[in-house]
Amino acid sequence: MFVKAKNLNLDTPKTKGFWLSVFSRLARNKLAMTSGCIIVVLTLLCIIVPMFSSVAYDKTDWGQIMQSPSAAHWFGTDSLGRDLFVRCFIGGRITFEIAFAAAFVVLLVGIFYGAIAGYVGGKLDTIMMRIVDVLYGIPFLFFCILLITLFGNSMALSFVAIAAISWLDMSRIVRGQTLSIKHKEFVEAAMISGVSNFKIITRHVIPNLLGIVIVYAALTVPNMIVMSAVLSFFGLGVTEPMTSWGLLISDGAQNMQAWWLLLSPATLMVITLLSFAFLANGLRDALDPR
Amino acid sequence: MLKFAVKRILVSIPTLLAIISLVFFLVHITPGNPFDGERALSPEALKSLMAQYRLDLPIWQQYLLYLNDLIHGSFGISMKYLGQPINSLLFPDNMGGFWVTLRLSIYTMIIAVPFGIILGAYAGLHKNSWFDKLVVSSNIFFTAVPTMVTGPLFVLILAVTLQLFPAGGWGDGDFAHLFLPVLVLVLAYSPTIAFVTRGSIIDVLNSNYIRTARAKGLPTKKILFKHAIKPAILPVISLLGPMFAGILVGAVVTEQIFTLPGLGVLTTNAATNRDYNMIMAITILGSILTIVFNIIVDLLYMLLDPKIKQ
Repeated sequence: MFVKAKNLNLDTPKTKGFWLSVFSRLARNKLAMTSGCIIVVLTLLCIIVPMFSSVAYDKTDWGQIMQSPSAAHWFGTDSLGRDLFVRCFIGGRITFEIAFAAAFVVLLVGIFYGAIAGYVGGKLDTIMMRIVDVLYGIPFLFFCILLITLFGNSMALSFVAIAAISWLDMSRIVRGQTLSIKHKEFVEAAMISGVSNFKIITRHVIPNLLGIVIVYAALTVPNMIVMSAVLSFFGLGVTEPMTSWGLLISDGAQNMQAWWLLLSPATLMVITLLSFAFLANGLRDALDPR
Repeated sequence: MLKFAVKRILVSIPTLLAIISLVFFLVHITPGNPFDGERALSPEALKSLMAQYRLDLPIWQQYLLYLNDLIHGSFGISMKYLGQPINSLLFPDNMGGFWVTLRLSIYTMIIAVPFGIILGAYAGLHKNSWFDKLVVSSNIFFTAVPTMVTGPLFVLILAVTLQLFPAGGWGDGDFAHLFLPVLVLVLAYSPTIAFVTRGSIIDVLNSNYIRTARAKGLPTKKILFKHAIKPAILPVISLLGPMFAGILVGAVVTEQIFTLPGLGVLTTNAATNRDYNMIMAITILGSILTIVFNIIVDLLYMLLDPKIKQ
């Protein structure tokens, strides 16, 4: 008689101890924790400031053109008399939205592509990785601009275009990790017990990729922020009167006499990017103690 | 050696062909054509335009003709500047287009590579000194913060406030005009080179054969220059292949910051005017450069690595 599958405990063992120790290691890393807090605070500010501000981000005031920072306008005003403080945070909101959405797509595509290629192996793996190699040969910026030119310029499309060219690294990393997980005993045991491939990938392989995925996610979000900002320099992506950090910086770069136009969004962006870098470093150390 | 080189070049041809096909079919299968947006054209004028750009032919014929053009070194005709060959826009006789981007990238490589290697080697030799910490933290900073933020900040400080350099423009390619763009690019890429060199120097110095050389009583200078440098440089060389693609794109972004008349302007114009042929040409040109540079790096690696040489 066969033992019914439901009587076997095929679940992955609960690794609570591992995640707890990861968290306690991360909590001891002051730089990473501060960075994490900064990211949370900035994200909240980007949500709250435009909601509760007394002036709208696109409210023009011809009497207040190019004012330097003051009590009324903390970050000054731009060439149309709009309040830069509100614009910086609504721009941050858009930037975060694009970055998180693109990073989510990148992780999803990269994980499944890499896990399938690594797990199935053989010819499929060769073909899938050859495709990645070919895409690597195209300078990403030009390809991204090509996609936006073809499918039209909108915020939604620009994040799809960014995501479409950024999943390559993720898929390579996941593939390598999958190859090593594949030969672990518990996966072989699951294979022998007749668990379907799809289920092994989703139940056993992907949960074990979580560590590397978390670290890479913390690196992908700032990359997406930079990509969307670079597109703004080419007049693509977000368009006026809506704004993003990239657009604000590119505006500021054209009006150097008004230094606050450049310094305010640039400072916010530098703080954000560095925070993500330190957080990713801390996560890597916490997940892989050596 | 020659066999390896030939093989390496032959292997990259299918990759290039795949890229060209991907770009071509992506552009031509997408509905709509670049003349949709033009002011209402008479049917005859539209027809002659379509014929001029071969858009009336079946797609496989267009594809083969495009490949034929590429083999003969032509990127076709611009769809914005009607009738003007793309080659004359990309490779103008005076300084502009591709030449600007290429010069920026080459200057960056020539300065950033030795600069990064020297800094990294020094940091690796003096591990945990203040200089080492500076190299490590500047790597974190400049990998996190891109040229599109550092560039305008440098312009604000050095050009607008201190008036040391012009804020933008090509001038006649003189030192003053090129200093800031090249500085921004060098600062963006040399910390990574330094960081990799530092790591590999530390690894090499801990290896057994260096310990042997030390035990034999060889002077430190001799150990460094005879035994340590070559193997320590190898990881740096394999880094340069992917880095070149980054520098090319970085140069294009830097052109936008400093308003230099390079590929950046052509890309922006092509994107806003939906000049499909132009943007295809730029994408393919970028891919060719990346692939060629990767071949050069691989060959260089082979020359230096005794394991592959045999």
